[in-house]
Amino acid sequence: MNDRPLVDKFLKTRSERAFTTLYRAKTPRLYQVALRLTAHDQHRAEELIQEMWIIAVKKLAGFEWRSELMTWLTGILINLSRREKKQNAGELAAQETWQGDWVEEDEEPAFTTDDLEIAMDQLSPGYRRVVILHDIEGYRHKEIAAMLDLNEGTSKSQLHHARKVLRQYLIKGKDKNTRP
Amino acid sequence: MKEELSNYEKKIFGRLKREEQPPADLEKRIVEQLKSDHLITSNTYKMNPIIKWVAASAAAVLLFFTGNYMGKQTIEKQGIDPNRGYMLILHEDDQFKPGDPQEMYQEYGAWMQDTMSKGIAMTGHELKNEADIVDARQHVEHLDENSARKTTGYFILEAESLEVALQVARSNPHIKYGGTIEVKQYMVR
Repeated sequence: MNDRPLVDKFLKTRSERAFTTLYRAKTPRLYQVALRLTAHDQHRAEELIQEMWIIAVKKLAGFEWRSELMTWLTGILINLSRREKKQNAGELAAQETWQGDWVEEDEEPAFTTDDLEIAMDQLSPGYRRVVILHDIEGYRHKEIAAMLDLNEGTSKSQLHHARKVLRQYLIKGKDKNTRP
Repeated sequence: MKEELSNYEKKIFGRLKREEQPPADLEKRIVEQLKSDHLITSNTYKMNPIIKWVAASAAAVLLFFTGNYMGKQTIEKQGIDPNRGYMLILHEDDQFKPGDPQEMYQEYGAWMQDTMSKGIAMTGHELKNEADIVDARQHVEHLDENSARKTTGYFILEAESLEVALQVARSNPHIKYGGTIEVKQYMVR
Protein backbone atom coordinates (compact mmCIF):
# COMPACT_ATOMS: atom_id res chain seq x y z
CA MET A 1 0.00 0.00 0.00
CA ASN A 2 1.28 3.43 -0.87
CA ASP A 3 1.09 5.47 2.32
CA ARG A 4 2.68 8.61 0.94
CA PRO A 5 -0.56 10.33 -0.06
CA LEU A 6 -1.95 9.80 3.44
CA VAL A 7 1.19 11.10 5.07
CA ASP A 8 1.57 14.01 2.67
CA LYS A 9 -2.01 15.06 3.27
CA PHE A 10 -1.49 14.92 7.00
CA LEU A 11 1.75 16.87 6.90
CA LYS A 12 0.19 19.47 4.66
CA THR A 13 -2.91 20.05 6.75
CA ARG A 14 -2.07 18.71 10.22
CA SER A 15 -5.80 18.34 10.49
CA GLU A 16 -7.72 16.02 12.75
CA ARG A 17 -9.38 14.50 9.71
CA ALA A 18 -6.12 13.70 7.96
CA PHE A 19 -4.80 12.19 11.16
CA THR A 20 -7.83 9.99 11.75
CA THR A 21 -7.59 8.72 8.17
CA LEU A 22 -4.00 7.71 8.81
CA TYR A 23 -4.88 6.34 12.24
CA ARG A 24 -7.68 4.16 10.94
CA ALA A 25 -5.56 2.81 8.12
CA LYS A 26 -2.71 1.72 10.34
CA THR A 27 -3.94 1.14 13.87
CA PRO A 28 -5.79 -2.20 13.64
CA ARG A 29 -2.60 -4.01 12.69
CA LEU A 30 -0.47 -2.11 15.18
CA TYR A 31 -3.01 -2.68 17.93
CA GLN A 32 -2.84 -6.41 17.31
CA VAL A 33 0.96 -6.22 17.61
CA ALA A 34 0.61 -4.18 20.81
CA LEU A 35 -1.77 -6.72 22.31
CA ARG A 36 0.73 -9.49 21.66
CA LEU A 37 3.66 -7.46 22.94
CA THR A 38 1.82 -6.89 26.21
CA ALA A 39 0.65 -10.49 26.53
CA HIS A 40 -2.88 -9.26 25.82
CA ASP A 41 -2.94 -6.57 28.48
CA GLN A 42 -5.51 -4.36 26.75
CA HIS A 43 -4.89 -1.33 28.94
CA ARG A 44 -1.16 -1.38 28.27
CA ALA A 45 -1.69 -2.06 24.58
CA GLU A 46 -3.85 1.05 24.33
CA GLU A 47 -1.25 3.10 26.19
CA LEU A 48 1.43 1.89 23.81
CA ILE A 49 -0.64 2.79 20.77
CA GLN A 50 -1.35 6.23 22.20
CA GLU A 51 2.32 6.90 22.98
CA MET A 52 3.32 5.56 19.60
CA TRP A 53 1.03 7.94 17.71
CA ILE A 54 2.15 10.94 19.74
CA ILE A 55 5.78 10.19 18.90
CA ALA A 56 4.95 9.37 15.29
CA VAL A 57 3.10 12.63 14.74
CA LYS A 58 6.00 14.58 16.22
CA LYS A 59 8.55 12.79 14.04
CA LEU A 60 6.59 12.16 10.88
CA ALA A 61 7.95 15.22 9.07
CA GLY A 62 11.44 13.75 9.44
CA PHE A 63 10.47 10.30 8.18
CA GLU A 64 12.61 9.67 5.11
CA TRP A 65 10.82 6.63 3.63
CA ARG A 66 13.84 4.39 3.94
CA SER A 67 11.37 1.77 5.16
CA GLU A 68 7.65 1.23 4.88
CA LEU A 69 5.57 3.46 7.11
CA MET A 70 4.26 0.40 8.94
CA THR A 71 7.81 -0.76 9.67
CA TRP A 72 8.67 2.65 11.06
CA LEU A 73 5.57 2.74 13.24
CA THR A 74 6.17 -0.82 14.42
CA GLY A 75 9.70 0.17 15.36
CA ILE A 76 8.40 2.97 17.55
CA LEU A 77 5.90 0.62 19.15
CA ILE A 78 8.48 -2.08 19.77
CA ASN A 79 10.91 0.32 21.36
CA LEU A 80 8.24 1.76 23.62
CA SER A 81 7.45 -1.73 24.82
CA ARG A 82 11.14 -2.45 25.32
CA ARG A 83 11.64 0.64 27.41
CA GLU A 84 8.77 -0.40 29.60
CA LYS A 85 9.98 -3.93 29.99
CA LYS A 86 13.47 -2.87 30.94
CA GLN A 87 11.92 -1.50 34.07
CA ASN A 88 10.86 -5.06 34.89
CA ALA A 89 14.23 -6.63 34.25
CA GLY A 90 13.80 -9.25 36.98
CA GLU A 91 10.95 -10.94 35.21
CA LEU A 92 12.84 -10.82 31.96
CA ALA A 93 15.97 -12.41 33.31
CA ALA A 94 14.05 -15.18 35.03
CA GLN A 95 12.13 -16.16 31.95
CA GLU A 96 14.88 -15.87 29.39
CA THR A 97 16.94 -18.52 31.10
CA TRP A 98 14.37 -21.22 30.53
CA GLN A 99 15.96 -24.65 30.73
CA GLY A 100 14.16 -27.79 29.72
CA ASP A 101 13.96 -30.71 27.39
CA TRP A 102 13.63 -29.75 23.77
CA VAL A 103 11.02 -31.12 21.47
CA GLU A 104 12.25 -34.09 19.51
CA GLU A 105 12.68 -33.45 15.85
CA ASP A 106 10.19 -36.07 14.74
CA GLU A 107 7.55 -34.97 17.18
CA GLU A 108 4.77 -33.25 15.28
CA PRO A 109 3.03 -30.72 17.48
CA ALA A 110 -0.71 -30.35 17.33
CA PHE A 111 -1.90 -27.02 18.56
CA THR A 112 -4.34 -24.30 17.69
CA THR A 113 -3.98 -20.59 17.20
CA ASP A 114 -5.34 -20.12 20.72
CA ASP A 115 -2.65 -22.45 22.11
CA LEU A 116 -0.07 -20.44 20.21
CA GLU A 117 -1.35 -17.11 21.54
CA ILE A 118 -1.29 -18.46 25.11
CA ALA A 119 2.21 -19.84 24.67
CA MET A 120 3.47 -16.56 23.23
CA ASP A 121 1.98 -14.66 26.14
CA GLN A 122 4.20 -16.74 28.41
CA LEU A 123 7.40 -15.94 26.56
CA SER A 124 9.75 -13.38 27.99
CA PRO A 125 9.29 -9.96 26.38
CA GLY A 126 12.51 -10.24 24.38
CA TYR A 127 11.63 -13.61 22.90
CA ARG A 128 8.05 -12.55 22.31
CA ARG A 129 9.19 -9.48 20.37
CA VAL A 130 11.35 -11.41 17.97
CA VAL A 131 8.70 -14.09 17.37
CA ILE A 132 6.04 -11.45 16.73
CA LEU A 133 8.26 -9.51 14.37
CA HIS A 134 9.69 -12.44 12.43
CA ASP A 135 7.16 -15.26 12.54
CA ILE A 136 3.95 -13.24 12.61
CA GLU A 137 4.67 -9.87 11.04
CA GLY A 138 7.14 -11.27 8.56
CA TYR A 139 10.02 -8.88 9.10
CA ARG A 140 13.49 -10.00 8.06
CA HIS A 141 16.33 -10.21 10.54
CA LYS A 142 17.92 -7.17 8.96
CA GLU A 143 14.79 -5.12 9.64
CA ILE A 144 14.40 -6.52 13.14
CA ALA A 145 18.03 -5.76 13.91
CA ALA A 146 17.49 -2.16 12.78
CA MET A 147 14.33 -1.80 14.84
CA LEU A 148 15.79 -3.26 17.99
CA ASP A 149 19.28 -1.89 17.52
CA LEU A 150 20.83 -5.35 17.47
CA ASN A 151 23.03 -7.08 14.97
CA GLU A 152 21.44 -9.61 12.67
CA GLY A 153 23.23 -12.51 14.35
CA THR A 154 21.67 -11.63 17.68
CA SER A 155 18.25 -11.42 16.10
CA LYS A 156 18.68 -14.87 14.55
CA SER A 157 19.97 -16.33 17.77
CA GLN A 158 17.12 -14.84 19.78
CA LEU A 159 14.59 -16.25 17.36
CA HIS A 160 16.19 -19.67 17.52
CA HIS A 161 15.99 -19.72 21.32
CA ALA A 162 12.56 -18.14 21.37
CA ARG A 163 11.15 -20.87 19.15
CA LYS A 164 12.61 -23.54 21.40
CA VAL A 165 11.02 -22.01 24.45
CA LEU A 166 7.76 -21.46 22.60
CA ARG A 167 7.60 -25.13 21.66
CA GLN A 168 8.16 -26.03 25.27
CA TYR A 169 5.24 -23.90 26.32
CA LEU A 170 3.11 -25.45 23.62
CA ILE A 171 3.93 -28.96 24.84
CA LYS A 172 3.40 -27.93 28.43
CA GLY A 173 0.00 -26.52 27.53
CA LYS A 174 -0.88 -29.61 25.53
CA ASP A 175 0.10 -31.91 28.40
CA LYS A 176 -1.96 -29.84 30.79
CA ASN A 177 -4.96 -30.26 28.56
CA THR A 178 -4.58 -33.99 27.94
CA ARG A 179 -3.78 -35.11 31.44
CA PRO A 180 -6.73 -36.35 33.55
CA MET B 1 16.30 -29.44 17.51
CA LYS B 2 15.03 -27.90 14.33
CA GLU B 3 15.61 -24.22 13.84
CA GLU B 4 13.05 -23.58 11.16
CA LEU B 5 9.34 -23.69 11.68
CA SER B 6 7.71 -26.89 10.50
CA ASN B 7 5.03 -26.65 7.86
CA TYR B 8 2.42 -27.25 10.53
CA GLU B 9 3.80 -24.45 12.69
CA LYS B 10 3.92 -22.12 9.71
CA LYS B 11 0.30 -22.95 8.99
CA ILE B 12 -0.79 -22.10 12.53
CA PHE B 13 1.27 -18.90 12.57
CA GLY B 14 -0.32 -18.02 9.27
CA ARG B 15 -3.78 -18.35 10.76
CA LEU B 16 -3.18 -15.87 13.56
CA LYS B 17 -5.19 -12.71 13.37
CA ARG B 18 -3.28 -9.87 11.81
CA GLU B 19 -5.56 -7.07 12.83
CA GLU B 20 -7.69 -6.13 15.79
CA GLN B 21 -9.97 -3.14 15.86
CA PRO B 22 -8.96 -0.92 18.77
CA PRO B 23 -11.65 0.37 21.14
CA ALA B 24 -13.53 3.30 19.61
CA ASP B 25 -12.63 5.68 22.42
CA LEU B 26 -8.90 5.17 21.88
CA GLU B 27 -8.99 7.26 18.73
CA LYS B 28 -10.82 9.99 20.58
CA ARG B 29 -8.29 10.01 23.42
CA ILE B 30 -5.37 10.19 21.02
CA VAL B 31 -6.96 12.97 18.99
CA GLU B 32 -7.67 14.95 22.15
CA GLN B 33 -4.08 14.60 23.31
CA LEU B 34 -2.71 15.60 19.92
CA LYS B 35 -4.95 18.64 19.95
CA SER B 36 -3.99 19.64 23.45
CA ASP B 37 -0.31 19.27 22.48
CA HIS B 38 -1.05 21.45 19.42
CA LEU B 39 0.13 18.69 17.10
CA ILE B 40 -3.06 18.66 15.05
CA THR B 41 -5.84 21.11 14.39
CA SER B 42 -9.53 20.68 14.89
CA ASN B 43 -11.84 19.65 12.05
CA THR B 44 -13.82 22.85 12.35
CA TYR B 45 -13.45 24.47 9.00
CA LYS B 46 -13.50 28.22 8.70
CA MET B 47 -14.12 29.15 5.13
CA ASN B 48 -12.14 31.93 3.68
CA PRO B 49 -14.60 34.68 2.71
CA ILE B 50 -13.14 34.92 -0.78
CA ILE B 51 -13.43 31.18 -1.36
CA LYS B 52 -16.95 31.33 -0.04
CA TRP B 53 -17.85 34.03 -2.51
CA VAL B 54 -16.24 32.15 -5.39
CA ALA B 55 -17.99 28.92 -4.45
CA ALA B 56 -21.35 30.57 -4.23
CA SER B 57 -20.76 32.39 -7.51
CA ALA B 58 -19.68 29.19 -9.25
CA ALA B 59 -22.82 27.50 -8.04
CA ALA B 60 -24.96 30.35 -9.13
CA VAL B 61 -23.35 30.59 -12.57
CA LEU B 62 -23.87 26.90 -13.16
CA LEU B 63 -27.41 27.17 -12.06
CA PHE B 64 -27.97 30.06 -14.38
CA PHE B 65 -26.51 28.37 -17.41
CA THR B 66 -28.13 25.02 -16.92
CA GLY B 67 -31.53 26.59 -16.47
CA ASN B 68 -32.06 23.97 -13.87
CA TYR B 69 -31.89 24.20 -10.16
CA MET B 70 -28.64 23.21 -8.67
CA GLY B 71 -25.21 24.47 -7.91
CA LYS B 72 -21.95 22.73 -8.18
CA GLN B 73 -19.02 22.69 -5.92
CA THR B 74 -18.55 24.10 -2.49
CA ILE B 75 -15.96 22.57 -0.29
CA GLU B 76 -13.57 19.91 -1.49
CA LYS B 77 -10.73 20.74 0.78
CA GLN B 78 -10.49 18.02 3.33
CA GLY B 79 -12.92 15.30 2.32
CA ILE B 80 -15.71 14.11 4.51
CA ASP B 81 -15.41 12.39 7.86
CA PRO B 82 -17.35 9.15 7.25
CA ASN B 83 -18.74 9.21 10.77
CA ARG B 84 -20.45 12.49 9.98
CA GLY B 85 -21.09 11.92 6.32
CA TYR B 86 -24.46 12.30 4.65
CA MET B 87 -25.57 12.22 1.08
CA LEU B 88 -28.48 14.23 -0.18
CA ILE B 89 -29.91 12.79 -3.39
CA LEU B 90 -32.19 15.09 -5.31
CA HIS B 91 -35.10 13.58 -7.20
CA GLU B 92 -37.65 15.10 -9.53
CA ASP B 93 -40.90 13.83 -10.95
CA ASP B 94 -43.85 15.51 -12.63
CA GLN B 95 -44.50 17.50 -9.46
CA PHE B 96 -41.30 19.43 -9.97
CA LYS B 97 -42.03 22.91 -11.32
CA PRO B 98 -38.89 24.93 -11.88
CA GLY B 99 -39.20 28.66 -11.31
CA ASP B 100 -37.61 31.66 -12.93
CA PRO B 101 -33.94 30.85 -13.57
CA GLN B 102 -32.78 34.20 -12.21
CA GLU B 103 -34.73 33.72 -8.98
CA MET B 104 -33.53 30.15 -8.64
CA TYR B 105 -29.97 31.30 -9.15
CA GLN B 106 -30.28 33.75 -6.32
CA GLU B 107 -32.00 31.28 -4.05
CA TYR B 108 -29.46 28.55 -4.55
CA GLY B 109 -26.59 30.95 -4.07
CA ALA B 110 -28.13 32.16 -0.82
CA TRP B 111 -28.86 28.61 0.32
CA MET B 112 -25.29 27.48 -0.25
CA GLN B 113 -23.85 30.50 1.47
CA ASP B 114 -26.15 30.06 4.41
CA THR B 115 -25.35 26.35 4.76
CA MET B 116 -21.61 26.85 4.55
CA SER B 117 -21.67 29.76 6.96
CA LYS B 118 -22.94 27.29 9.56
CA GLY B 119 -19.65 25.38 9.22
CA ILE B 120 -21.14 22.53 7.22
CA ALA B 121 -18.60 21.17 4.74
CA MET B 122 -20.27 20.26 1.52
CA THR B 123 -19.71 19.26 -2.04
CA GLY B 124 -22.13 18.32 -4.78
CA HIS B 125 -23.00 18.34 -8.41
CA GLU B 126 -25.88 18.55 -10.76
CA LEU B 127 -26.61 15.33 -12.67
CA LYS B 128 -28.02 14.94 -16.14
CA ASN B 129 -31.66 13.99 -16.41
CA GLU B 130 -30.75 10.95 -18.48
CA ALA B 131 -29.41 7.75 -16.98
CA ASP B 132 -28.20 4.32 -18.02
CA ILE B 133 -28.99 1.37 -15.79
CA VAL B 134 -26.87 -1.76 -16.02
CA ASP B 135 -28.18 -5.08 -14.77
CA ALA B 136 -26.71 -8.52 -14.09
CA ARG B 137 -27.24 -9.57 -17.69
CA GLN B 138 -25.08 -6.65 -18.76
CA HIS B 139 -28.19 -5.19 -20.28
CA VAL B 140 -28.22 -1.39 -20.31
CA GLU B 141 -31.51 0.41 -20.03
CA HIS B 142 -31.43 4.01 -21.11
CA LEU B 143 -33.72 6.45 -19.32
CA ASP B 144 -34.16 9.64 -21.27
CA GLU B 145 -34.80 13.05 -19.83
CA ASN B 146 -38.52 12.50 -19.97
CA SER B 147 -38.47 9.63 -17.49
CA ALA B 148 -41.12 9.88 -14.81
CA ARG B 149 -38.63 10.03 -11.97
CA LYS B 150 -35.18 11.45 -12.24
CA THR B 151 -32.19 11.75 -9.96
CA THR B 152 -30.89 15.15 -10.86
CA GLY B 153 -28.26 16.03 -8.30
CA TYR B 154 -26.50 15.20 -5.09
CA PHE B 155 -24.75 16.82 -2.21
CA ILE B 156 -22.30 15.18 0.15
CA LEU B 157 -22.01 16.97 3.41
CA GLU B 158 -20.58 16.62 6.85
CA ALA B 159 -23.06 17.22 9.61
CA GLU B 160 -23.21 16.74 13.35
CA SER B 161 -26.30 14.58 13.18
CA LEU B 162 -29.06 13.27 10.98
CA GLU B 163 -31.29 16.06 12.25
CA VAL B 164 -28.82 18.68 10.99
CA ALA B 165 -28.60 16.90 7.62
CA LEU B 166 -32.40 16.86 7.43
CA GLN B 167 -32.52 20.57 8.21
CA VAL B 168 -30.08 21.22 5.38
CA ALA B 169 -32.27 19.16 3.05
CA ARG B 170 -35.49 20.86 4.17
CA SER B 171 -33.99 24.27 3.53
CA ASN B 172 -32.88 23.39 -0.02
CA PRO B 173 -34.90 25.27 -2.67
CA HIS B 174 -35.38 21.98 -4.49
CA ILE B 175 -38.17 21.18 -2.03
CA LYS B 176 -39.91 24.47 -2.75
CA TYR B 177 -40.05 23.63 -6.45
CA GLY B 178 -41.68 20.28 -5.80
CA GLY B 179 -38.61 18.05 -5.79
CA THR B 180 -37.79 15.48 -3.14
CA ILE B 181 -34.50 14.91 -1.36
CA GLU B 182 -33.37 11.57 -0.10
CA VAL B 183 -31.04 11.87 2.92
CA LYS B 184 -28.66 8.96 3.36
CA GLN B 185 -26.18 8.48 6.16
CA TYR B 186 -22.76 6.98 5.44
CA MET B 187 -22.37 3.37 6.49
CA VAL B 188 -19.29 3.02 8.71
CA ARG B 189 -18.26 -0.54 9.54
